[in-house]
Amino acid sequence: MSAGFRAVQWNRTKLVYDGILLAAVALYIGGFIAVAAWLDEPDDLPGWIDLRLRAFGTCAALMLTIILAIGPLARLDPRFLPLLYNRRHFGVLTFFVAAVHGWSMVEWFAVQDALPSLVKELTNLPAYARFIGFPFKTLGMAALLILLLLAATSHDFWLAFLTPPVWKGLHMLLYGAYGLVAMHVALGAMQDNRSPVVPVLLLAAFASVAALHLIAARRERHGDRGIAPGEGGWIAVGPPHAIPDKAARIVAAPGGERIAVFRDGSRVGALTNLCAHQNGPLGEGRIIDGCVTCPWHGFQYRLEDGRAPPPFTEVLATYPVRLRDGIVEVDPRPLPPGTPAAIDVGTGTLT
Amino acid sequence: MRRAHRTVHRALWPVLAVLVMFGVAMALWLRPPPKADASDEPEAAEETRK
Repeated sequence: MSAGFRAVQWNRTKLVYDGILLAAVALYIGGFIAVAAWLDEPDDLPGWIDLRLRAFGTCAALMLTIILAIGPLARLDPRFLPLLYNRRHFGVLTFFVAAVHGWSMVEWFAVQDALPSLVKELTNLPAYARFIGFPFKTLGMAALLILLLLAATSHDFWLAFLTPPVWKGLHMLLYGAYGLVAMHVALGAMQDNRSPVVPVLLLAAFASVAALHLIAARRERHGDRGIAPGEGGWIAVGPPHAIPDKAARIVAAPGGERIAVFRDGSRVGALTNLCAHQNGPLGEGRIIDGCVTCPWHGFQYRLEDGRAPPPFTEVLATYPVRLRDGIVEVDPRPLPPGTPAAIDVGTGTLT
Repeated sequence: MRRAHRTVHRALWPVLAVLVMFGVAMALWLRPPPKADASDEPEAAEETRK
C-alpha cells in the first residue's frame, strides 16, 4: 500500500530477497570464473576479459530465463508467489549483470586497440542482410536497451505516473528482449562453439519459458470466456457456501473484465479483480485481518467498499451483489470506486 | 493483468516461440563446419566470437 510518495520502501522480506539474489549471482559468477580458469587458465588480459564476458553473459541469460518463468509459475502454482514479490529488483540486477557483459565486450576490443574492428563489424550494412554472419552483437545491444528502459521505469513512481495498464504493457517488452537474447546466442556463441551444451541449454531454456507461458495463457483463456448474464444483466456466482470463506470466486461477463466475489463469513462483496498497484489478480488473494489482500505485493482493501484502510489511499471499483433464490448474483456494471456494495447473505442487507 | 494484456500475451507467445525456435534451429542447421586447421585464422575467428 502507499501512504504518499516515499523514495524507498524497504522491508525485511525485500532485504532477504535481495540478499539471496546477490549471493546467488556472486556465487554463479565466481564459480563460473573459478571453474573455467581451472579448466583452461587464460594466459593474457583479453583471455581474462573473455572469461568475465562469458560469466556475466550466461548469468544474465539465466536470470532472464528465471524472471520470465516466475510469472506463469506463480499463475499455475501459488507456492511460487514469494518469487514474484520483489521481481523488479531481480530485473534491475539482471540489467546490471547484462551491462557488465556488454562493457566486457567493448573492453576486450579496447585492450587490443581493436575498437575500429568493432565499429566496422557493427556498421557493416551488407552483413545485416545475411542470416549466418548477422552482426549478432546488435541483437544483444537491443536487448540491453530494453532492459535499461525497464530498469529505469521499474520504480513505483513510474508505475503510478504511467498507470498500471501502460506500465504493464511497456514491461511486456521483456518478452521481445528474451527473443533477442536467444538469437544473440544462436548467431553468436553457438556458431563457433561446437559443443552441444550451448544449443541444448538455449533450446531447453527458451522452450521451458515458452511452454510455461503457453500453459498459463491456456488456463487464463478459460477464465476469460465469461458467464452469460441472466435476467437484468446479473451474473450467477453460486450459493454462498460455494464461495470459499475468506477467499473469492472470480467471474466475468463475456468480453468484460474479471470480478472477484469474496466471502468473509456471512458477508459477500464484489470488487474488480485488478489490484490498484500492478493490476495483480486480487481474486486469487485472501481476506487477511479483515481486508482483501492482493497475492502479489500485499496491497489491502476493505471488502465493503473497496477502499484501502487508512492511512492508505487506494480505492477500487465495487459491484452490486444480491442473494436471489439462494444464489449470489453480481451485476457486472461497476459502481464508482469506493461505493459500499457488500451484503450480509443472512439478511440480504448492505454490511 | 487486464483482459487486453492477456489477449496480447496469448497472441504474442505462440508467435515468439515459433520464430525463436525456428531461428535457433536454422542457426544450428546452417552454422559453418569447423575449420580443418583452427590455427589458420585465429585472430579473425576470435574477433567474430566476441
